[in-house]
Amino acid sequence: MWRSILLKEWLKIRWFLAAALIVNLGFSIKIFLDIRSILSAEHAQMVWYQAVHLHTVFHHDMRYVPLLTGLTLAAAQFFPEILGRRMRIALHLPMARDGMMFFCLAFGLGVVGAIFLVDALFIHLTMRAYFPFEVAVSAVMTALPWFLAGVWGYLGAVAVLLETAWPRRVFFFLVFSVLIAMLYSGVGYGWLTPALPWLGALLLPAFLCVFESARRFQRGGA
Amino acid sequence: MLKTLSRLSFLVLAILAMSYILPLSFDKVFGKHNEDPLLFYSPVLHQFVYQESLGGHRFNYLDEEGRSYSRQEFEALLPFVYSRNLERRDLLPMVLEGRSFDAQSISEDRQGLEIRARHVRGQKPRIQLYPLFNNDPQVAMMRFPVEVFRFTPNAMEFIDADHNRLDPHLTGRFTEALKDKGFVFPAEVIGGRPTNLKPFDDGYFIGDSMGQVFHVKRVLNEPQIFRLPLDSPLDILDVVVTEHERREFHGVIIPRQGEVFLIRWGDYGLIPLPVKDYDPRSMDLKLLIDPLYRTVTVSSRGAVTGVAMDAGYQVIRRYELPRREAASDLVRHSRDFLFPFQLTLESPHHGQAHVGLHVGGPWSLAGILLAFALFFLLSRRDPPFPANKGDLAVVALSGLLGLTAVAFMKGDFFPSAA
Repeated sequence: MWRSILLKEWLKIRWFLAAALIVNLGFSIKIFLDIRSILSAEHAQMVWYQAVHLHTVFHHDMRYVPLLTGLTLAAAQFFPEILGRRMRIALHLPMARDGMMFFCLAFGLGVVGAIFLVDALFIHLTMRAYFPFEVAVSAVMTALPWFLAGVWGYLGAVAVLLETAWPRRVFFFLVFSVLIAMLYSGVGYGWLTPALPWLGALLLPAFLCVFESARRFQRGGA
Repeated sequence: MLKTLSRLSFLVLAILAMSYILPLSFDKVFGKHNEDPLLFYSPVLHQFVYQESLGGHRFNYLDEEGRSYSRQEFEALLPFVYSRNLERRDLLPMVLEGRSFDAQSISEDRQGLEIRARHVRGQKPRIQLYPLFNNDPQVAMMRFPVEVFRFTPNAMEFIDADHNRLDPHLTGRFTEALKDKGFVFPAEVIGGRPTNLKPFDDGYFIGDSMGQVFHVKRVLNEPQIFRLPLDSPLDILDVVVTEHERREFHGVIIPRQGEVFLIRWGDYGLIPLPVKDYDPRSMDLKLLIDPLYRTVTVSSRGAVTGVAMDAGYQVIRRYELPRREAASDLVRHSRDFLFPFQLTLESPHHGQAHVGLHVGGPWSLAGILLAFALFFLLSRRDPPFPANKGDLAVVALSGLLGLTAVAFMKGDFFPSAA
């Protein structure tokens, strides 16, 4: 049964996953080429000065890519389920609703997380190739809130899609939008780093609140 | 169990999101300005005068006794601050305390320094890599060095930016020179200005693990290191280097609690500034030097305190100006009424995110009581808005914010679209 569900989830997202991977890798390569080109045009010490003391974030173009990835994969995974309320069929399979939701979410989050891991690795390797270790670590720490926004985006989109009442759907959308906007606060490198433990801890309630939407979906909104 | 946890999770998220965005929006609409008053020591009145913002580019100009001045009168009380304006109004040269001052002499003997809490070490992100400029008397311009340095637990390492690798020669030279001077690794604090937009380079002041401070410069690619003659080790939070043409002092040492020292030019003696209860992590400090006086002001949450000193840094006058609330009582009480607490990411004392939860004043209790009343009214509507202890607790803790979240989570409050 679990294998069948896994296959169903895979069939739903495979092309979107491929597209997300291409976009993420494309941006990672763009950042590498951008930095290489800046370093060939300017003195390396001046580029380091910009990175360290002027707080220039060279991988800034990447910041909304994880969010877009999370939203796309959530839509690919759950939009077909709410069309014609197809998910109700899956929810009547001989397995616990919450267990199945947990499985689907774990699958989606695993895929999203794997893409972000690749992104983080690319950012680190690119920065490490041209900058000291401290700058490479700082670049990944600066990108962490963007990856967190991708995960929040995924969970928020699932909660909104599964919600059945429009006023509540709008409210969910606004709540997740505000929480995601918080992850784009500040300027320069590492601005949000001190807040990351708090913002990361909110992932658990964000994960849990999707189950309430699924419960209401199964009951048709009650 | 999962149902309760899931529902509670969304309530928590919704309340946090609202407690973050709604007070911010409220402040944007009702303009919560809180600019520091500008406090100066007037060499004309021999007392403090200040400029207070009323919002919308309107200002009050007052002295210690509350006498009000026009803008022009205020400028005339501060000839060392507004010398250019006074020169255009043909009020210079001016004779003060038997000395005549024109715009040129004023500008040559004036210096300002500001240390904001948000810029102090630990209050903003800082990657600990610094350029050490090479002082070469034969070269006029200050060329950016190709190496940056960092401190490791047992070395001062130089990294070559062209090749992104360690420079073993400079690393060895500087590490050995530091050890020879008694530096005990690792470095605790590094103070300097990593820019070539300055009149000259004065290197870095570096605190070691024993509370000693060393002045480190690079002269003709060789280390030039001097250990400061401190009476006792200092627990230093930060060092600010000034590199000002007056060359009266190298910079400022900021210990962790309540003191500030200038590092005198020449003999590296420490000049204590007479500030009381100064907390560098939550207060801003300004030092204003003019040809006759030195004025240090410290802005704390409740007041701006000024100390005027003579040229020998002896106190001649102190004044404390209590801060005025910028927002009206109505605005402040309405804010407290609507939002019993506020989640913030920004703080005026931090140059990076600082998570804060600010609880409202007594008016928040009134807001919570109204939320209770609305909660019970709603629970009587048809279809009912069933009250349970959990929801009641949420409303009790978060007032109208909690009530809004609970209302959206009630199953029957919004009928399903399906």
